[in-house]
Order: sequence, then structure tokens, then C-alpha cells
Amino acid sequence: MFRSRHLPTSFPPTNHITMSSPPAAKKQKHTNNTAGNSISRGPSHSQIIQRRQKAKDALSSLPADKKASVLERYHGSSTASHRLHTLRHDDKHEDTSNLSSYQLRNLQKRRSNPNTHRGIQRFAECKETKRLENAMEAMHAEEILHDYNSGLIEVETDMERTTQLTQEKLKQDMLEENVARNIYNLELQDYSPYIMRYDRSGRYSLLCGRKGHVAVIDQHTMGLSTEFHLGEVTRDACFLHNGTMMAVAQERNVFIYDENGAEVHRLDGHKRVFGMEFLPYHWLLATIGHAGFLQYQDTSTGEIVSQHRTKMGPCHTLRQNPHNAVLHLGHTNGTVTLWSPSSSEYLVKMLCHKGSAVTSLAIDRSGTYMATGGGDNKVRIWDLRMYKETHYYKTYGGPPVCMDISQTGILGVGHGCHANFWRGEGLKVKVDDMYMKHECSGSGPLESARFRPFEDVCGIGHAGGVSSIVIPGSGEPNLDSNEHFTNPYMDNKQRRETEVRSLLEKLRPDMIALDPDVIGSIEESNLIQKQQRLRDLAESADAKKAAEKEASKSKKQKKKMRGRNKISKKLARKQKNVIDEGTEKLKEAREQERVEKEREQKNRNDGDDHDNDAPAALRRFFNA
Amino acid sequence: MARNQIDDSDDEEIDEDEAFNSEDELKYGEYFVSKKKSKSTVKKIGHDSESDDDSGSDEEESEPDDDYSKDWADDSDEEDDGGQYMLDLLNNLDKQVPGKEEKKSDKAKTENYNGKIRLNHVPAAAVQMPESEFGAGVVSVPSAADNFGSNKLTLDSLMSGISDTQGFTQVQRTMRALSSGTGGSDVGTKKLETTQAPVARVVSERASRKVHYEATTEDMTQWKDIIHTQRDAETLDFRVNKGGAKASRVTKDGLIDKFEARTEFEEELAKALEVAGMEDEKAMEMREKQRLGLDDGFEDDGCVDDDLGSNRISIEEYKKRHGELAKMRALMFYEEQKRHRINKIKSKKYRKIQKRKREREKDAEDEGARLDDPSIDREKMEKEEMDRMKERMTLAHKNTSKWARRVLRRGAKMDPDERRALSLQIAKGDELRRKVMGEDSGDEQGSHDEDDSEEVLLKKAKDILSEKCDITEESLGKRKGLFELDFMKRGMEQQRARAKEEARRLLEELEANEAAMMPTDSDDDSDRETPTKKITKPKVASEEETTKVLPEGKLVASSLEFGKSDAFGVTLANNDDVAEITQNELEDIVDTTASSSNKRKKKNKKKKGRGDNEDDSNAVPVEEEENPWLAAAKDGSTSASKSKPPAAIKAKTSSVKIDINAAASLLVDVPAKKTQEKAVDSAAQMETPKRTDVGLASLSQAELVKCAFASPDDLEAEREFQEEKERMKERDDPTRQKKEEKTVSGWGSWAGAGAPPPRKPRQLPKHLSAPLKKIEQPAKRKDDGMGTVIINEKRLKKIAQFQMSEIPYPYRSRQEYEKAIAGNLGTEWNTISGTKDLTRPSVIVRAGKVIKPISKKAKAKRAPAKF
Repeated sequence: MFRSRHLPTSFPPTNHITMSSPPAAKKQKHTNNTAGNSISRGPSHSQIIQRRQKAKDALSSLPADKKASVLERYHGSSTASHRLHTLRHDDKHEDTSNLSSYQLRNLQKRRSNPNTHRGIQRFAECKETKRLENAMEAMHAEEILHDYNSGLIEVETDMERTTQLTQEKLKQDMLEENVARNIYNLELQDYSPYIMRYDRSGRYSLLCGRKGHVAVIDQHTMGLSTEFHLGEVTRDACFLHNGTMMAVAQERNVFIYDENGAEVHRLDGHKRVFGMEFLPYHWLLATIGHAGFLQYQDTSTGEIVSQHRTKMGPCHTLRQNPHNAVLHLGHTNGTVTLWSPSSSEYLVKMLCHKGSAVTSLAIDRSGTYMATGGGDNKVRIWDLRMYKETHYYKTYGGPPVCMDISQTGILGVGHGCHANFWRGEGLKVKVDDMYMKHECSGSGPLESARFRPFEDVCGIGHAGGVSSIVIPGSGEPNLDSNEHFTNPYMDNKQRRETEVRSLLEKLRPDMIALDPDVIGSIEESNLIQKQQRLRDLAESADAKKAAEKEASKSKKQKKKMRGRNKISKKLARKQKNVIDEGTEKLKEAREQERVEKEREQKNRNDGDDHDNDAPAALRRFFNA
Repeated sequence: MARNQIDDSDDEEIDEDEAFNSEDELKYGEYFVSKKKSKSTVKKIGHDSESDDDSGSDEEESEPDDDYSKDWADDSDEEDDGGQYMLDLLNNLDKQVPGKEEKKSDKAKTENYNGKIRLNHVPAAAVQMPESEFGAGVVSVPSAADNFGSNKLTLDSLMSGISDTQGFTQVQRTMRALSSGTGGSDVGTKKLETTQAPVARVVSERASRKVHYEATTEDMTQWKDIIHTQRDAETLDFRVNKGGAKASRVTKDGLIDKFEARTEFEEELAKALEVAGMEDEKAMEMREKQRLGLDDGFEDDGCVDDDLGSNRISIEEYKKRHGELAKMRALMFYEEQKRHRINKIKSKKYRKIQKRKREREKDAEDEGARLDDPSIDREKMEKEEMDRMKERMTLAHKNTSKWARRVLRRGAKMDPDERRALSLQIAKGDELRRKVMGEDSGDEQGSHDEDDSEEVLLKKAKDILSEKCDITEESLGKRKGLFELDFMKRGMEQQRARAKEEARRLLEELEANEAAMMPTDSDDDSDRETPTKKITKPKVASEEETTKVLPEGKLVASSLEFGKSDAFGVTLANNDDVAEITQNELEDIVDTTASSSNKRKKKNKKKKGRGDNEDDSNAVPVEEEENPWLAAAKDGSTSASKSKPPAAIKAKTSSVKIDINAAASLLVDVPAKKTQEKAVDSAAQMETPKRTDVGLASLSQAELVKCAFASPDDLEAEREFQEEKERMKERDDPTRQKKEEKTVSGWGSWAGAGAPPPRKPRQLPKHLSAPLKKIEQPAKRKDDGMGTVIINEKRLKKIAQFQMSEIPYPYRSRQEYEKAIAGNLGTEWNTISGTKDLTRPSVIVRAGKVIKPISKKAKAKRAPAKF
């Protein structure tokens, strides 16, 4: 269940297949069981093979794009086939030197025995068939349910350019009214510069002025749902799991406010925070700030899950990889590091901008492409499967200070007072023409740019306030009601229920890894890993031993001295404790005698000489 | 053959021993006979010899019953002839003996001879025997050796006794029938066959096992089908009645359709309904349905009659219902209000609110009364004074009380109520304290605006120059106590002088700017014209100086920045807090923008140090002080700037411009009120990176940006990165341990320093030399050949807990296992039915139900299970 749970894959995933009616092939599956017995059901092996053949035939007859989508579903994730490849390699070059003789013998026996293989094969075949059928079915369901396509603007003649299209023109001539209303400009000079964030459903937007103005706008009603002034510097703000909670990084600490603007929590552990991200599947709020401490706090339990010292100074750039929930930090020395709560060191470090700081960062939905903007006025595109730069774009007029990649893969870059947009192919290969352009002339440099989920809208925060523009084709057209908190039309009851469900399905923070498929798999057999594993095992064994020792120490030691436990002695000891009148008298008498003796001695000494009165240093002269 | 061999061996043994030869036989034969064949008869003599032959094996052999019966039949047949029987017997004997003798060796012949001798020898006894034989033959179980004889004897003898008797024909006939019934037709052929030797036990057991196995297999094959289907089945569903669930579901429609009037009562009712016109109703309904079907839907106003009747109501009824509803609502609302009020009355909060309300009212009243009567005012003042005293005495409204401390210690877990109470208390304390300090300290929250325009600056500077004395005097007059002390006065004086001086300088610079902008070059003019020339030194460093100190353009920018910060530090000496804040913020910026450039940091520190020095040396005469805004330029050179050509001013006007900012803030901040808002403002201003300062200095935009984000250049950055990568590699190298072991200190150098180098080992021919040691290659890393990427290979224990260390049992490779667990099962990726299919349990049972044992009988097909 948990495998690659985090992943809405690159092609529009999963959505809306909930209400699908199973196709005919599916129904047939139930009826063709021949088991004559009352208690067994399901197809036999031979039937499975037949079905599988049938499914394969059906697959081969599909057009290429659909085939690809089915295969992706079949493999589980975009990286699964790649992973299988590496595993095959690993199997071939397996290092069995660290196996015990027993384990080795066992393995060899298994390998030589064809019967075990047959059993597994049957099981695997059965499963594969089911998966394949399900993938086909899901594809069909998606075909039916995803009836909207995201439309990009296209030119009719060679002389036209999509970049020529301005927002005014779009609003006047081309857009429907309900889309055109998303083009607006809020002039908020007093508390500028502003940043603008959206929640996961795209319904609420969060405006945050640097000088302490925070507001939430409901994008459906276009009304202000919350507004408050904090009276101190706010450096960043983000929504938590839904639009009802938000975290604001203020002068010293991070605060959490609810939908009414009431302060819910003050997070003391986060000092002077510059950037925040919320990981929705793990319910973690991650922050980084002046000290370069990356902290993860569980917003459901309130505990700080882990904190890492990046050792790379203050950090302003923090983004999450939506594919695997790994955090990407952009540092001032031009490197980007990848972090997870389970590792105190970075997972990957890449030098993205040599000799200049990383000013902005964005990762696409499939977790395949990363775009980084640096002080060298370049936007570099990276393939995260190989950690390799594929190409770059240049910006003219200021370094790219903000960046985002939309659900459909449109890359938005803000630099100076310009916002440039490249279409989805721009991530894969270098394209000559950008898709759209927008200029916030007169309202100062851009501060933030974020795409609104499920809408063709991009929200831009700048020194003159906030502006919202329409970028056609940037939003995912089909809603996924199965995904938590992504339904913008959710009512209160649904929201509450989703909250509970999402909490129940919360993933453990330790599960965040570079490859989400790693959960439930077998560890790699390479030498480095193996040696470390052995070391870890030894360490844990030692720790266990030490703990045991400690525990035994704290336990009351039994007296094992010989003879002490004889019954007569015991009785005698008991007798000793009995306070007897006679013995008491005797003791007193003895004591008195002793005192008298002492006094006598003293008197005698006094009578003899005065050496006792002399200072200690001189006493020896008296004695001599 | 086996039998022959055995005989041979027996014979040989006898032969060798000569233990019992013919003579012995002659002597002791009778004993043997009497012992062995005490029951032998005359008839049996012929057989006797044969049985002697077989003696060795016959002991174990169990003869089948058939043989007996055959013999019996023979006997009975022969019995009819009476005396002929004996003769036949003898003939047979004769026939048989020669046949045997042919096969046998000479020794066997001697044996036969022995037999014959016995035959001759025994007759008397044999003839005498019958009587004794009579009963024994029937009763006793015959021993193996003399089966033949005993059987025949008994029956025959029985029969012979009554053969001639007339009255016994009946008996004879039955006996004959009896014997013929048991006897076979092939008596003649089988009669004299020897019995087979039994097979070995192993063989017989194997045979029996085979038989048993076959039987069991047949038995088991009956189960085969059912077992196979079960084994193949993905799911075993043990829920009873799962197929019939649908059938057993009773619905209203189903019942109506099936209904038939059966009982008397029902029939009566049906009849009554019919009379009432149910049939008509049905017909109408049918018609209606038909019409609807034809018209394709609900075309009329949608008020179709259903079973519940019309959904149309009259207006009166509607009004009535509405009225009822409204009444109910009103009642409910009333009730709710009542409850609400009652609840409120109960609560503490309510009380509190009430109390506060009362107080407020009273206050308002007092306020009114105060205007009329001053005594009330005095009273109020007194009361407040009392309050203050109490506060002072108890310090109740501070957060130092035990309760407050306890609450504070709990920190984040604080109860909201408690938190509120605490903040309330502190607020109250603040208020009281403020009152103690004086009534009117609250309205200091004036905001200042930063005007950068030169005119305003100019004006302000002039103001300061002209009016400051008055202001200060005024303020001095006001101040008392500590400020009247001499040194304080002196300090104030100095401060004022400094401020004046700075204002003057500013003025001068502004004028210089203007001069520079003018087309006429009037270096000397400017010298002449500036009224304050004799007092002030040229504030801007000479060009040589600048180049000396600031060899690069980017440093100019940085130093300018720092100059600004220093300006704050110096001029706001009497407002340390603000200065500190700005300083901190600046450091912030420096940290963030300049990254880890040590050079810069060092510089910064130096500046700070210098700034402090300046603070200390405030008493230095005004004439000798240099421009604090261009602090960087002053660095280390105090003498060089004595005679500076005014041209320098012109050359550096652009840089001076920036300082105006600082100067302006300086001037504005002279009142130095630390307000929260201002702090926010300035902080915010500092935080935003200044990206738009075009024309800030004589630098290009790109250069400036580079300065702002100054960091090691490309090559250096890459080199640093590679070093780190190397370190990581070294750390994770599994062969590291061994390498370290190899280089133990002192190893190979035991002879000490200066010892001759060790002799090289003798070169042996190749076939004699030891095999070369395998050089261990460092393990392959994932980031090998990736350039500027480090992939951490450290094993993560927290993730390893979700992984297996070795391949689990039935699987043989990682790939196989991975394939088995691949794929997504959740509803996020599959249809709901798909998910159910994928996650269906292998066995489904209903709790508490008994699972019946498996049965061979295959039942009829059933409906698929519902999930």
C-alpha cells in the first residue's frame, strides 16, 4: 500500500476512477470460474495464463501513448522499470561473501530447486495478470472520466508569437468571464513586498507582506476570508494541510494561525526562519533559516521529528520534491542539497551554479526535473534521475529570484520585474521561444511566483502588491477527489472527514527516501552498504548488551556471601536489634566509663604541661 | 529345481555322516515310522515314499485346500469299485516311482529302496492300523507330512463302512453329491501335481503394497479435482449462503408481483378491493405508464401520481402547514433563546462580563461627575494611587509570581485560558507601571517618514545648524537632576557640536554635488565658495588612497555599505539600541549575500572595531574627524587626506550620493525614539535585497550582482566541491580499514633512521614466485563519473528498518522478489473494483460460522461472490 504512495506520476494520475464501472472483460472474470466446489472460487492457473495472453494482446493493439500510460500503471511508478534494471544488475554481480554458510547453502538450494521457482512463477503470473488487467481498466476509466484537456495557446501563422499576448488582451478578447476574473492586480504598497501562496486545492491564496500583513483570499468568492497585521517582519508563509491553517515565519519564531487569524501555536524551536515547506503526506512542516538548521516538525503531534545542521550558512531557498517528499535546499555557494528526516547528512549534493548563489528552485510533479536559478542569471534544468544538467536558459534583467513549475509542467521564472513562462517541453529539451511573458512594470521586483493548482492561474507577489495572471494550460484540468485536500469544492463535513482520513493514512517521516520504491525491498548487495550494515548490526548488538548490563546493575544484587544466611545467624542478628533494658544499661555504663577515662587522661595532661595550648606550629618544641 | 537341490544337499549330508544308513533304517525304522507316521495306513504307503522325499520343505509348506478336495473326489470315485481301489493305488504308485527315479541320483534310489524296504517291513502294522485311525483321522489336525494319508483315510474309511448297506443309499448319494460338488472336473491332471514353493517375503510384501497402493490411489483420485480447484483458486470463500443472498432478499415489488390470494381472508379482501375498483386503478396506471413511455418522459408539470398519492396540495392546506411550521419554529427559537440565556447566567464568564459592564458604566458616570465636582477627581486619583502602591508592594502583575513562572515554564503547552490570564496580568502591570511613570508616555508612537529628497535633507540640516542651540537649551532647561551635572553637560555639548559638524558637512557635500553637476569646472571656486571650508577637511578620500585601499570595484560597494552601517554606529551613539539592531541586520545581509567569503567577514569585523574606536574617541576635536560615511576610505590613513584636491569630490560624487541616505536617516534619527514600527520598517528595508540600486557606483549591473552574491569563483567552487567529494569517498571506502592497517607507524622501519635501505627480495623465476596479491579496487560509487555531484552512500538505519537484508525464502533473486511485490494496490491508482480484486484475502470466512469439512461431491455452479 505504501509503496510510492507519494507519487502522482508524471502523467495525470489516478484521478476519478472511483466511480468507474468495470468493463466487460472484468465481469467475465467472475463468471468463468469452473470450480465446482462450494467453497473455492477464482480462476485456475491455466485460465490466468489465457487471460494474461488476452490482456497482452489487447495492450499491443493500443496506440502508443495509451500503451505507455498502461505500462506505467502496471509497473507502479515511472522509476520502477529502471529500478528493476538495476536490481538485475545487482543480482548478477551479487556479493555473497558476507553471507553465512547456512544462508549461502540455503540460497543455492533454492536456486537449484526448480519447484520453488514454479510456485513463485505461478503466484507472480497470477499477480501480474491482475495488475495488467487493472492497469487497462484504470486507463479506460480515466479515458471516460478525464474529459477535459488542458489547452495551450497556439499560433496560427508563423509571424505570431505567443509571447505577444498580454494579459489585457487575454482578458478582453479571449477568455471566458469566469476565467478572466482571475486576472487582477492588488496594489498593496504599505506592507510590501508581498509573497503569494496557494493551498493544495487552489481555492485559498495566502498573501503575506514583509512588514507583517497576512491575508487569506477565497478565490471562488474573491473575498477576503482572513486578514491580520502582525506588526513585525514576516519572512515566509505557507498553508498547512488545508486552507484553514497557515504557518507564518516571523521575526523570531514561526507561528501557526487558524482561519480566523487566531494564533494557534508558537513554534519555539524554529528561530529566524527564511523558508518553509509543508509535506502533506507526512504532515511535516519543514523550515530553514538564518542558522542553516533544517527542522521537521510534525504538525499533527507537535513534536520535532528531526533537525539537521546543514553547515552551509543561512539558506533562503527551500522546496520539496512532490514525487518523494525529499527537500531541496539552495545554498549561497551555488550548491543544492537534498535532505530527508531519516538522514543527518545530505542525501545528494550537487554544484548547480559555480561561483554564484542559488536564488530559486523548483521541481516538477513527477520529480524528474529540477530547475534552479542562480546569481549568474541562468535557469538551469536538471534531470534528477541522473543528477545531470540538461540545458539552461538565460534571464536578462536580474537573476531569477522566484520560480515554479505548474502541474502540467509549465516553468515560470521571475526575475527583476519580469515573469517568463516556458512550456512543458522546455524542461525536456531546450526550446527557443518562451511561452508567455508578463511584466510588472512600476511595481518593483518580483518576490514570489506560484501556480494555482487546478487552474490556469499564476499568482505573483512583488514590491507593489500582488497580481494574478492567467497562463492558459498551466493547471491540471481534472480534479482528483480521491486525493486528500485537493478538492476545491469541499464542504465542511467533507473537509473534516478528509482530515481524519488523511491523518489515518499519514506516512512515517522515516519513510522519506530518494527512491520511494525502496520501502519493502531488499537492501542492495554492494560492498559499501554491506559493510555498513554489518557495522550497524554490531553496534546495535553492543548497545543491547550494554543496556542489559545496565539493567542488571540497577537490579538489586543478591547477597551471596557464604554463611550469612544461616538460620542461627539470622536469628542472632535479629536478636541484636531487640532493644533490651539490660543491654541498654550496660551500654550506658560503658559509655560513661569511657568518658570518665578520657577526662582523667585530659586532666592528667593538663596537669603536666601546656603544650596543648600552644599553636600547632610550635607544639613540637614543647614535646621535645 | 530348488527342491532337488535341497534334496541333494540333504542326501549329501546324510551320506557324509552315514548317520542313518540302510542298516540303521532296518534297525530303527520302526521307531521313526511310529513317531512320524503313527497314523499311516496301508493305502498311504505309496505316498509315503514320496512324502519322505519332500520331507525337508514339506514341513513349512501349507498345502492349498483344493488338493485335499481333489484327492477326496478321487477317493470317493474309486470307492465304488470296492476292492479295486487298492489295486489302483498300487498301480499308481508303480507308475509314479519310476518317473521319480529317472530324475534322481543313485542316492535317491537308495532312499526309495529304503522306502520299499519299509513298505515290506511295515505291512503288519499298516493293516492293523485302521481301527485306531478311525477317530483320529477326523478329529486331529493332520500334520503336514501326512496330509494325504489322513484325509483319504478318514473319508474313505467312513464311506467304506456303509458302502454295501442297502438302507444307506440315501446317505451315499448325498455324500457323493457333496464330494462331487467340491471336486473339480480336472481331477486327473492336478491330482498329483506338487505344490509350489512360496515366494520370498520381500516379493510378496511388495506385491501386497502395490495392491494396497492402487486401491488407495483409486480412493484418493476422487478428491483430486476438488483439491486442484482449491489450490488454484485465488480465494477460498467459506461464507455460507453467499450465492443465495440475492435470492433471499425480499423486496416490496417482488412481494406484490407474486401475491396471490390464498386464504379465505385474502380472497375476501381481494374481492372487496375489486369491487372498490382496484382493477380500474391498475388499468389506469398501465395506461399512464404506456403514455409516459410513448411520450418519452415527464412532459407535463411533473406531478405524476405515485403510490403515495398526489403531490399537489391545495393552497389552504399549504397555508395551514406553513403556519404550523412557523409556529414550531418560533417555539423552538424561543426555547433556544431561553436556554441560551440560562446557560449564560450559569457561566462565570457571564458574571465577569456583567461585572465589567457595571464597572464601565460606573466609570462613565464618574467621568460625568468629575466634570461637575473636582473632589471626585481627587478621590479617583487617590484610589489609583492606592492601586499603584499595591502593585508596587505585591508586584502581582508581573510574570515573576510563582503562578506566572509555573505557567511560563510550561511554555507551548500552556492552556489558552491561562495564557490569556497571564497576558492580561502583564498588560495590567504594564499599564500600572506606565501610570506610575507619568500619565503621558503613551503617545510617543509617532512614525517617521524617510524622505530622501535632497531639499528636505538640506532643510533639515540647515535647521539643525541654526536652531539646534535653541532646542538644546530649551531641553536643557527642562531637564533636571542628572543632566545638571558638569560632565553630562559637557557630553551634551560635544554631542551637539558633533551633530552640527555633521550637518555642516552634509551641506557642504550637497553643495559639492551641485557643483559637480554644473557644467563649469570650478574646483578652485568651490574651494573658495564653501563657507565652512576652513573648518572641514575634505571628506572624500583621494583617488590614490581609494585605489590603494580599494583595489577592486566590488570592494567599493561593500565598503560603502559598511560605511553606512558605521554612520549609524557613530551618529546614533546616544541611541544604542537602534544602532545595534541595524548593525545586526546589516550583518545579516552581509552573511546572506556575501556567503562564506572570509575576506569580507574579516573586513566587516575590522570595520566594527574601528567604529568602536571612533566611539571612544568622541572627544577628538571636530576638525580632525573624518567623514564617517566614507569610513572605508579612511582606513589606515589619517595623514594622507590633509591636502586633498577638490577634484576628488567630483570624482566620487556618485559614491557620496549613497551616503546621503545614511546621513538623512542619521539626521532624522537624532530625536532617536525607538519605536517598534520603525524597527520593523528598517528591518524590512534591510532584509529586501537591493536589486534596483542602479548607478550605485561606477560598476556594471552584473558586477554589482556578483558583489552582492559574492562567493568563490567558478574554479575555486569546483575545486572545493571536488575536495569534499574526495573526503566523502574516503570516508565511505570499505577498503579504508585495510589501508590504515597497512600503514601502521613504525612498520618496516625498525632499524631506525639512517639505516641502509632494506635489501630487495631476490627475484625468483616466475614459476617459483608467490602469486601476486590481488589489488583491491575501491568499491564503485554511485556518483563515480558524475562530476560535481555527491551521492551520499551512508546506510540509513531508519530506512533500513523498512527493508530486508537478504532475499526472503522462496525467492531466488532480488528481481524476482521485486516483481512479486511491484505495482500499486491503492484506490489512488486503480478502480475500486480493481483494488478489491488486488487486495482480496485468500480465505474469506464469516466470523462465528462453522466451516464444513470438504466434500468429494462437486456441487452445481454458484453465483460469484459479492464483495
